[in-house]
Amino acid sequence: MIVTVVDSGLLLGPCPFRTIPSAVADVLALREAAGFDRAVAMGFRSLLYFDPIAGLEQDLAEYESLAEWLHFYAVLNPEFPQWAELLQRASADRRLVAVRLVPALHHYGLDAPIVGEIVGLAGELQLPVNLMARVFDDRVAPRFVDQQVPSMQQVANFLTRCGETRVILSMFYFSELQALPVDWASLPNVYVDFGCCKPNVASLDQLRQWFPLQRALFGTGAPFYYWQGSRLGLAGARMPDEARSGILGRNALEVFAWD
Amino acid sequence: MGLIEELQRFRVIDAHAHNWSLFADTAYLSECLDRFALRGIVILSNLTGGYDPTPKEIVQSNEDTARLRDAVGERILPFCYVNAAYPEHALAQIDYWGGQGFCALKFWVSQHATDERTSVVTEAALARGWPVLYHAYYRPHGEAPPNEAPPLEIAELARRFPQGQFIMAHMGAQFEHGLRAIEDCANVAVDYAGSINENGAYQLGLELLGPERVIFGTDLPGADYYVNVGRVLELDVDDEVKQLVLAGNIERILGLQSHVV
Repeated sequence: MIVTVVDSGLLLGPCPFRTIPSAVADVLALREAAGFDRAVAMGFRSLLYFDPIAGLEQDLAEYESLAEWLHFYAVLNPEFPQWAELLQRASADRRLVAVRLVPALHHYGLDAPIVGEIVGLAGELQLPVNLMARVFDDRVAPRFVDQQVPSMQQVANFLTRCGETRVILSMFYFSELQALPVDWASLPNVYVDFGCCKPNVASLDQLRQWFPLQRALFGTGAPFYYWQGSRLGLAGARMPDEARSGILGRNALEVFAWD
Repeated sequence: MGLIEELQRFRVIDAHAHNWSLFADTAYLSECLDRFALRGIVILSNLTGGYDPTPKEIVQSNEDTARLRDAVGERILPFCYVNAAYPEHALAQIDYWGGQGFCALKFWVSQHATDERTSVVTEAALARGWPVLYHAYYRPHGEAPPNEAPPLEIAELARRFPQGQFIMAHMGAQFEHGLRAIEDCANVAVDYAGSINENGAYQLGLELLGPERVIFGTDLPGADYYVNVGRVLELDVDDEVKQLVLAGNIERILGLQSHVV
């Protein structure tokens, strides 16, 4: 069986408080070691620049030589005036495969009307919306990083309002996901990335008991985070091999509408 | 070679785990030992009593550890848990459990490492030849337990007892801070047990401390075994170094060669 491997959560580019190995050569080495066929990344510039479009353009330019297999999230800050332009930009560039919202760092409410507008327009443009709970570990991020993770009730309300738009949840902890007051079966367009979720000894074994595995993705957060442990966790989890290979890549092909 | 097969090339001892939560079930813990092919697992306590356990709760925790060891066998490496805020009781626990095959001391968050009572209890453990594993956390966010020791306190304690062997847990949580704090203390080793998964921790540990002062642990069952052990496998170092981290160093510190299955 040929298994496609997709890492749906790389963190690339210049991190402002730690050197991480994310030059083009480093990313090539990471791909070789981790054996992924495609990846979707977020650049720190896309996330942290005042002008998210300028940041995204720098990320795309730096990694242009990897464009055949390395894709990006277009990080969208609803308070930035040109969010609609960024959405159009994303829909027109095959390297951009989804919009990413990071309210924990950009500090807006998921119930803001503009968020609904963004999700609606993304859906019209056939772009998935990725909701990232956090970027950094809540306990050890630098003190100047003020992450305000949305409440699980806010997230649940957000998911129920997303309608036909495909949504991906990333960097939520297992404990948060299991506490989300939602019926996953009734949210067929919602995917969850479980590659960076702080599992306990049994979390991945028990995943199939409460979440539909055909909508599970796997992004490791490399190279900011270690990748091999997460991948080893999936390899060692008690689940059917068919489901495991889906999580490793096939489900991503579906949500990103890749052939 | 697959990831699981790569792991199987190494012998592994988990030097940081607890018999609480899912591991309160001895049968499940035993199953995990077999499933993960662990040669041994350090049991630190079941955290009974929370941040400031009473003497009665300390006794209960150590008795639970002993029962687990008796049920599972020599793969359980029991550490004696104490609250140094009750120094006489802590000294009595060391004396008693030392006679019951316990092999080291565990401090959690009930006393600062700079507290004089901590020194008294530490001295007794070291006199017995035990290493001392100390939880340490540098917390940029959130409220710390009132008596939690940050890494700089561990360094101070280690300098006070230069003949003793210490293990600073979690690399002090924020690894750049924690590792720099104890870098010059040759008698302090570290583990990176837990769910904090930041790339660079093991690498900086090996660079600053050398391969003989970095120890593998998981914080099971609250963290995933594979996620923890995969961090070591990912390192771009020789297999000999990985083997030291995964088992060799804790074997040396605990004198385990003849004890581990």
